[in-house]
Order: sequence, then structure tokens, then C-alpha cells
Amino acid sequence: MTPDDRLAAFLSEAPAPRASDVFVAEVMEAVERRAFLDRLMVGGAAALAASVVLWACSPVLNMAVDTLAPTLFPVAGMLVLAIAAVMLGDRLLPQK
Amino acid sequence: MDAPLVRAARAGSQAAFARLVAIHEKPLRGFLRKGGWFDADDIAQEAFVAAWTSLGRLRADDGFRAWLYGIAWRKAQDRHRAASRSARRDEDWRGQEALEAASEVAREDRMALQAALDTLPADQRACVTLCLGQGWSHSEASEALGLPLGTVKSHVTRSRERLLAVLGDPS
Repeated sequence: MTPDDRLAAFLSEAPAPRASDVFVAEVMEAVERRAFLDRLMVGGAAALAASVVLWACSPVLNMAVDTLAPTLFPVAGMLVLAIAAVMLGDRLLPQK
Repeated sequence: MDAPLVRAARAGSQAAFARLVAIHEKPLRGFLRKGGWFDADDIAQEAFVAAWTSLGRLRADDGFRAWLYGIAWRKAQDRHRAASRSARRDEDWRGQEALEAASEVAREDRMALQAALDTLPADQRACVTLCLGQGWSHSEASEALGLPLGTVKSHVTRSRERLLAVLGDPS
């Protein structure tokens, strides 16, 4: 074996294999933590933006609700009844 | 070799990225430890996480290895700019213990080589470890370390001579 070969062998020494799995797991844990924080920041920013938009639109929304509520009241009542009937039906049907 | 995994990881596949980590972690940690960075594993972990978050900025998928080592190299330099030299030496010894000793190198040669390697400047250690230890081309090492090609070549030549002298090689 030439001195160059010995030098290359020395310089290419790497950590023991038993430490590799632990290292990969630690890296992926850190990656997942970073991905979670990124998702949290994006979700938080989206929620903030939505709340600002809704706050800005609140006068219009209030007016729309005040105008439409009396008209939609009977329709909402009928919808609630229909949904209740469907849910009750779903519960009763499997028992047969 | 890395390109399909890089593409999958960029599309959000953590499994593909885990495979990239598994492929590159040993040589990267070996490179950082040979470079004398006492917290080599922490630097390597930070480099992988940084690579994951900035995969979109990698221009050539095949250049993942050089790009990753470049991130690690810059992180190592930033981290140690303010570190005290004595603390580094103490911890350096501990880091070397965890390396798997090559069976081809006798114990006394290994100790002499390590002592000689420690006397080299950081960029020379990096060049010689990548080009002679891990078989990188000069241009790839130049890209990863952000050094001119001529500088890498001269660093490798000079460092090789100094290290071979330790082994009693007249060349």
C-alpha cells in the first residue's frame, strides 16, 4: 500500500455506522419541526389576513345580515327541519 | 444520482430527503470532523435542515452534493469565527474519537497525520479532505468551498506534500 493510499484512507475516515441512524432520525425530526413551524406561520398569516378582511367588510356584512335575516328566517327554519329529519333518518335506518 | 431524490424532495417528499440525508451524512460529518470543527454533527444537522428549507434555490439537481457541502462549510466558518482556539482543540480530540479508524493506517501514522492535519489552515484541510479523502474533483471542491480553482489545486498539492512527509514519503 502506497503512502498516497494510506493518506486517502486516513482522510476518508467517517463516523461509525451505528451513529448514522440516530443522526438521520435527528435531522428528519428537525426538518419536520421546521416544516410544522412553516405551516403554522402560513396558517397564522392566512387567519390574520382573513380576520382583517372580515373586519374591513364588517359594515357591509352587518347591513347584509340585517336586510336578509327577516327574509331568510322561514327558509332557515325549513332547512333546520329538513337537516334534522335527514340526520334522524340516518340514525334510524341502520337500526332496521 | 441525487437528481431524482432532489426533485422528489423539492416536491415535498420527506422520505426522499431522508434518503439524501442517509447518503450524504457520513461523508459530510467525516469531512467536517477532519476539518477540525468540534461540533461537526451539529453543523451537519443545521446544514441538512437549511438544505431542506432552501431546496428551491438549488439550480442544478445534480449539484446537490457540492451545494450541501458549501452550506455546511459556510455554517462551520460562521460558527467558529468567534470560538476560542483552545476550546476547539479540546473538543476536537473528542470528535476524532468517534470516527471509524481506517484499518489501512497504522495507529502511529494516524496520530502523526492527525497532528499534521491540525497544523494546516482550515481551507487547506477542507481541500485535501475533499479531493484526496473523498475523491472530489478540484472544480467540485472549488464550487463547494467558494475558492478559486487555482487555490484549491495549490492547497491540495501543498497539503499532500506536508502530509506525505509525515509518512516518510520523500515526494
